[in-house]
Amino acid sequence: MKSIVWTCVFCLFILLTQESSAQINRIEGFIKDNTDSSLMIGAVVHLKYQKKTGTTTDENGHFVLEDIPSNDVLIIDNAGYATLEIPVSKITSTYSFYIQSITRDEITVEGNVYKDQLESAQMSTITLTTKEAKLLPALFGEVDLLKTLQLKPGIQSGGEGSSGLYVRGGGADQNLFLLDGIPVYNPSHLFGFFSVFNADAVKSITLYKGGFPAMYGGRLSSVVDVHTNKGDSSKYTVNGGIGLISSRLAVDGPIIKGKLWGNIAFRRTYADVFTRLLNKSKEGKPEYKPIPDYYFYDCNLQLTYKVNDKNYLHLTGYLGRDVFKFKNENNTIGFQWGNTLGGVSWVSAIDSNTTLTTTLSVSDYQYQLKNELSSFNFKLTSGIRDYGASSHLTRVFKKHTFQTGIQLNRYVFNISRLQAGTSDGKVQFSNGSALYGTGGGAYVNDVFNWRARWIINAGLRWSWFYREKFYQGIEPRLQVNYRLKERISIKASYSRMYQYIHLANNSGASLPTDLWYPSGNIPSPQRSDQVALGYEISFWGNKLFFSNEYYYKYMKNVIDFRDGAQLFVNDSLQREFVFGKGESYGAEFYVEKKQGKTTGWIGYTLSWTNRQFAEINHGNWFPARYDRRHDLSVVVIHKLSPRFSLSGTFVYGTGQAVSLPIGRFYLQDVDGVKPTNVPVFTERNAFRLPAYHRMDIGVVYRFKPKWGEADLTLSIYNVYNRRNTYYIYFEEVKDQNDIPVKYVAKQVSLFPIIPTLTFNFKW
Amino acid sequence: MVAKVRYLLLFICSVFLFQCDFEKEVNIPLPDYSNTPYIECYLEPGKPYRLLVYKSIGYFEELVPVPIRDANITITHRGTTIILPYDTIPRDGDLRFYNYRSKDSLVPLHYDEAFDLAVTINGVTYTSVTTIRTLVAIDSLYNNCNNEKRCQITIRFKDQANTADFYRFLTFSDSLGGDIKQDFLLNDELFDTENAGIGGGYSFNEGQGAVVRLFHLTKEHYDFLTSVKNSQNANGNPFAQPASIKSNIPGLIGIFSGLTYDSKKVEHVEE
Repeated sequence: MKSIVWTCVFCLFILLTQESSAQINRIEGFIKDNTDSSLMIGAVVHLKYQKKTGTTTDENGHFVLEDIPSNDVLIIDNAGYATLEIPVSKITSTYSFYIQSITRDEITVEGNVYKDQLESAQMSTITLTTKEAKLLPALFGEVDLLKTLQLKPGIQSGGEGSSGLYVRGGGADQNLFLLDGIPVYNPSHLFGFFSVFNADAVKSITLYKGGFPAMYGGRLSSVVDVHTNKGDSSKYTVNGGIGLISSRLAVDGPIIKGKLWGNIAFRRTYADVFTRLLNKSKEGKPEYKPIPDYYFYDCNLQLTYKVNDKNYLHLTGYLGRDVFKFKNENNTIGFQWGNTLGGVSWVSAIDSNTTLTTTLSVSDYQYQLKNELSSFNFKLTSGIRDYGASSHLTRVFKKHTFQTGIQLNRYVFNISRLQAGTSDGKVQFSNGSALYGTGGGAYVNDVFNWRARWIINAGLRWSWFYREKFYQGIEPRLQVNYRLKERISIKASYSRMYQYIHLANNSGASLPTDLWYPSGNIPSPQRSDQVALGYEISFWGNKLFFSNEYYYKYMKNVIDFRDGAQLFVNDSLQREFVFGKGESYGAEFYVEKKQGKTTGWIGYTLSWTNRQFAEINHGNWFPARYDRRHDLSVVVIHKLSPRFSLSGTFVYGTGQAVSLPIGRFYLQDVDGVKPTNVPVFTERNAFRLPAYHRMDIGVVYRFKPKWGEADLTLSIYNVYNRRNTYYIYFEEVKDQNDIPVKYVAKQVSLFPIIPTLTFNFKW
Repeated sequence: MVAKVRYLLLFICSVFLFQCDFEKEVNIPLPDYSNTPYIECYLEPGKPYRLLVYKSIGYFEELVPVPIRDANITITHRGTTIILPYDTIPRDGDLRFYNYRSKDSLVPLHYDEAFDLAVTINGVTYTSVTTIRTLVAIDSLYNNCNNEKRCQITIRFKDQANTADFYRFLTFSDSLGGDIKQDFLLNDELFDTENAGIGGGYSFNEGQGAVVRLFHLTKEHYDFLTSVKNSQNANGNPFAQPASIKSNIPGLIGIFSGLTYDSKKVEHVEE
């Protein structure tokens, strides 16, 4: 195998030394990828001789090490990169410098690449980089980090092709999505088939499914913390791709060299271009039904302004829209929905041990539906706007890393505002309301070592929310790691979470019409308590990593809707809520191989998820729609050569729990013209769809044109053309005289085998 | 909403150029069903007391309805109890079928007064109460046609202030008994003034006849019809939650309600 050219730039600046430069006691710095200067998250930084000293870079690619003897050697490890060694004596104070990369045939990271994980108290956490996700096959060639996360244990999808996440039995509304710390209220494009996170703009994603750090709050089941590319301060890069359904372009580089730099990424689908042409060519044909017009686009912007060595300003912007139009002889319907995000963060190193990050942000999600007739029109809008301010302080002591912070949010909820009437203005009516809520939180968190083998991460969060009524809650967080041996850790965690805003969604899919609704007199906040216990082992010469976690999550005041709830244009939506409880428990098994020609993982989850509501299912417990007894994912990536890599994924899951009618009657109704068949549903989610399984294959061919780098990526989705069940319905079969003769059950599948070719380039 | 979901599905299928009929018949074994009795009873002023009783059936059972012949049914109003014997003979060209009917008594025009139903089947008595809502008249009606000579009908009416009102807007092509073109359920939370209105899509051909009906429903009837629609939508809509039927006869499936409506006939739908 020819050499793989991985290069790495190590950008270090030293903030504090002792009296002489030879007696360094603290090193602080950033680690970057040499190819694009992007910050490397989760890289391991440790000392060669004083083996107990080590840490990992945070979400900003930043690390701090204390008590460094000047005669030691600093080592930087990151999976997929060459190990970098720098004598500490060469690192001088108040000096920033770059070290060129090392190139070699095969990367062999010395030491244990799982060391960081074994040494951390954090459990139930998954970090995924865009680089990893890009190696895997993708539906329609669209790399989607949320879908890649679904391949990890404890995380399930909402259905075929969906990017929705169901984490440890939690609902799709119980995930907090953060884009550089700014909440995202609808993380989906195209009704959930794609996420709003453009892979070209994203550096990595960290998902917490339990053991939540105290700085996070507001949702019961997970935190999905998305980190964008911060841009390159020294050189320009243009990334792009042309795929089956969309094209992408991202530009990265300095605006004022060394002072202001950024990244802008744009993506748009173009199916509408072809469907419009098709509609036009078939215009006037009586049997032809026009294809609706649909596209989505999004744009990410990142700017970093270096005020001085100790102060940085980060600007984050996002604009995404889905546009859907349908026109037939009766009316014209237009949907438009999307997120708009903006935020400014000020990162300040107050002194050598203290960092303060202060963020002001706005997140807005709006949905609009217009039905246009010449004499009678209506327009429905709904959405949420969240004005946020937060401040986080991190102080590193000799044996403690202490964090504290506060957060304040002001919410404006636009609940199904309907404006309708005749075009002459004689009849006008409207409906809907704007609700306002204020919430916030404060927390303290400390990570420390206790005796030789214990690592403890303890935190306490206080959260509150006010609308009509004041709610507050104390949220203890605790994670403990007991290092049984150097390669074996036993971990346990407990987390309490409160959720004060709720998603009115009764579909099980991510629809733009889903409404965010605040706590008040009704509904009350939701609460979860989760305990987890597990162990982690690195073995086979640290080539493999195994983890096994057991969890139990109890949820109180879980929200659902009355049978047949009217969520669409309802001024009294709170009357449709019902409150109950939920529980989820299970075991997760995970084996991973990060190094060598062949890498990948196997994840398996055995779980139970149930709900109970007095008003549903006669008050009996019933399985949640996403209750999945078995969930297996196998991911393999094999580098055939520096140019070719192959990848494959296989997923298997117990079929979704669904409700099917078991009885029926004929309603003749008030007119008696045409009696209709009415299904009678009895038990909720008493049936199971057939098991879901699928295999995908990907081939990446890289080449180096004169102008830069490029690759062709072939993805084959559902390679053995499995007809997975999307849903089941009962059909009335009629004879020639339009008289019903029998009823049959039909299974509908969505995606057959789909090969796609994507061209990606970097210039 | 249903139309919207259909449009979404149509789009999802068509934009990816895959067949939405990527479907096949499957065998789903269903558990035994209890054949709960089903009742439909509308109190229409000036018409006899009439009621339909039969057994609901398992989803894949024979299509033939199973009427219940030995039920004892009474309706009590202002202290008078009317017995409804088994009687299946259709009258007055009524399109509806009933199997229990009063012999001589007609439903009186007594708005907002209680009518009590008692149905005894196999020794078990089921009861319900309803009223007849006041008439809400259609104030005006006008048509609008587009370039493709398709027309829509909009009606205006006065919504009663200070009461919770529920409406149903039905349009038929040509005449009563013709195809139902539109069927909307709405409640007055939608209107912030007394001047209410509702219009449908371009469902009529220019020159075609039409009948428009505005029903003033009891809340129970509105809830029942809403649950029927939700239940029908849930079968075949992967995004829908299942919906149980909201019966106002506890222990049985069905509806017992007064029926009040105003009708307008349009000879030729044109602008």
